[in-house]
Amino acid sequence: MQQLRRPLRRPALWLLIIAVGVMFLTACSGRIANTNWAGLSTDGSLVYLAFGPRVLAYDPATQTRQWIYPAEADTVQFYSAPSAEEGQVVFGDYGRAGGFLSPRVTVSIYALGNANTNTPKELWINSSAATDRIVAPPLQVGDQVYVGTADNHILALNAKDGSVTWDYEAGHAIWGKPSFRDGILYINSMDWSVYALHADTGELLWKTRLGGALAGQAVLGDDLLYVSSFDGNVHALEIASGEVKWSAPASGWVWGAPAFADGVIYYSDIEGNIHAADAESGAQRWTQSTGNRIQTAPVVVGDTLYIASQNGGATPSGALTAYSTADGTQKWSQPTSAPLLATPVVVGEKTIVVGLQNADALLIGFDLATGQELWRYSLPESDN
Amino acid sequence: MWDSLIVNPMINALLFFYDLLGNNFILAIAVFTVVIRLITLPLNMRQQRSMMRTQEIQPQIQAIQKKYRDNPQKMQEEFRRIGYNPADTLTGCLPTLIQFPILIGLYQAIIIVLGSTPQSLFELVPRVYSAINLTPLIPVSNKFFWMNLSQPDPFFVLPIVVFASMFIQQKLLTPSTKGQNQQDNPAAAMTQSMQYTMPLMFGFFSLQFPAGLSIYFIMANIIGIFQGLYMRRITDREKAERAANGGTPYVIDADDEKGSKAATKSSQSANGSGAAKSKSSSSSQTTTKRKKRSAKR
Repeated sequence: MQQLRRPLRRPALWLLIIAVGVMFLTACSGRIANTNWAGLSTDGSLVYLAFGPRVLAYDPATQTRQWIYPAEADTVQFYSAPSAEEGQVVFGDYGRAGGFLSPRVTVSIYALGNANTNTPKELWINSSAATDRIVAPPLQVGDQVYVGTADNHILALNAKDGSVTWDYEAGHAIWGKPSFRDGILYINSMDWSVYALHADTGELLWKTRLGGALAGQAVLGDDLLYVSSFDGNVHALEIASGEVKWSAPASGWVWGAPAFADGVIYYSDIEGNIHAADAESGAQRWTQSTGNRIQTAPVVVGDTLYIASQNGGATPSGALTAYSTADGTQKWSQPTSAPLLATPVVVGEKTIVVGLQNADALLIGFDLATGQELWRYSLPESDN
Repeated sequence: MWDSLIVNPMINALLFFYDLLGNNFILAIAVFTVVIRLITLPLNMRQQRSMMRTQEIQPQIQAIQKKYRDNPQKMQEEFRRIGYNPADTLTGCLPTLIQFPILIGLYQAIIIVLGSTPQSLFELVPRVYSAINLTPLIPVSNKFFWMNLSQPDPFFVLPIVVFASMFIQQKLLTPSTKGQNQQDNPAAAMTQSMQYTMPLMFGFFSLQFPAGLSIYFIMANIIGIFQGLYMRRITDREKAERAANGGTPYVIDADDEKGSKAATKSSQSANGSGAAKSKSSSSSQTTTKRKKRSAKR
């Protein structure tokens, strides 16, 4: 026995090392890093949340969940904020692995019936148009659905059956929701460029390259298109030509889309500062430091600006804070147990909703005026 | 701790090379691999040399084990005399042990650097050292021919290349055990089977993990192939020198016929009858030398 022990020690050690290696490699991060923060959206009355394994619709008025999809959580993940229009909800997924021995990933775009049934009806699923994750929230306009993909494409799909109407390839991934006005789509790409495309044909009308990646949505003002950029600026572009009219600086990457209200542009940077600038000239009005990291977009309601942020301390947490739009003074702040990484949405007259991804709560509604918590929703044990 | 010692330096090294090499992530991974292999080269060379040497003297090791199975102290002495240290087996595995943190760290670093999800990009920012200007590097180009480097290769090309290159590397690094009875030498049998299991396993990894990591495997294997060819040349030269200097490093004492028979049988099975003949002719010389050395002491 001893005779075999020594020669075998080396291969046995090898096998042990390999086993530990396999365990680590397969356990440490999963197959693909398929995680992101929750995608939150609203149609004004219902709130929609794509929080990883599932997507749900919640009615803050009655404080009831309308539906959840899929009925049983699967390996596929959902993070693109759903788009709800005319009785259907559209969103994409992060891709489904092809199986134990297949490296192929299948990415799907889903259209569900938006009825108050616990399990919504699948109207169509397109699993061939995209080859990489759907990060960007889709946009529904009339009988078309516009979706930006992480494989650099802007897809126009027929809203009735999901078939591809046209397909335009950009230089890199699309993470921001497209914007639409007068038959033209305005799309930001991570390739540092803004694209203006004819909404019916996908024909390129103009393209403007800026100084950094563009992760958020382009925002339409009265005459200008406002674009936040990783080059540390918000740029104002002529809507007709794409020519840059002015650039307003920030203190770091500007990730979230700017907010346009009453002739003022509000924007935040990832260093945690909020800025207000004149929408016509770009002249700075005020700057406020929050002390947290921000990659969400500001939300403006009346004379108040709301911003969701994350505190990256030893125990990551978040905060929803309200500021005066006049001078940036803080009105109230509500801490949350998890970082706030999704832009909040406003429903009804008096509620602002934040989306989280932890067991305590998926959605929390706060009073717009006082910041008082009105309700919170967490997934029932039976759905976990 | 793990992040600040392993992942973050790798992220910054990859970004540094990416910037330096004209924003080409494949080139960045390739140069990074070369740097890692250069750092671990002394350990790797030592491991390979030790492995080849151990395999070469395997018949003698077995003979000693058989003969002194009831006398571990004597067995150790004899091992020392033929230049075999069982503890080398453990130190020889050090490069492999080092490879795994590198692999795991690199897997995480590639995923984060490619920033294929908003969250991974958001997490990248605080990890980047102030000396690197991240803004002009984002987004890191994730396309290489038909592949998305943050996803597995959908056409199986990289897994096949990983398997083939690793198989060739293993073949070069594993000393030939031709003629050895694998029942007598389970270590040789195990080493032979590793030639297939390791490439298969890494080929399987490539089916599951981002294409960028497969590029690292392939680059590391190519470097390993050249290293293996170089090591073969060295060991062949050493073998030739030893043969020219006369004989095997170990023979069993003539006063123990049983042990001697075992050793001879083992040598024959390892080297064929011709080799055994030359050994027996040189054995008397070696025994004489040993007796002279003992007399001096």
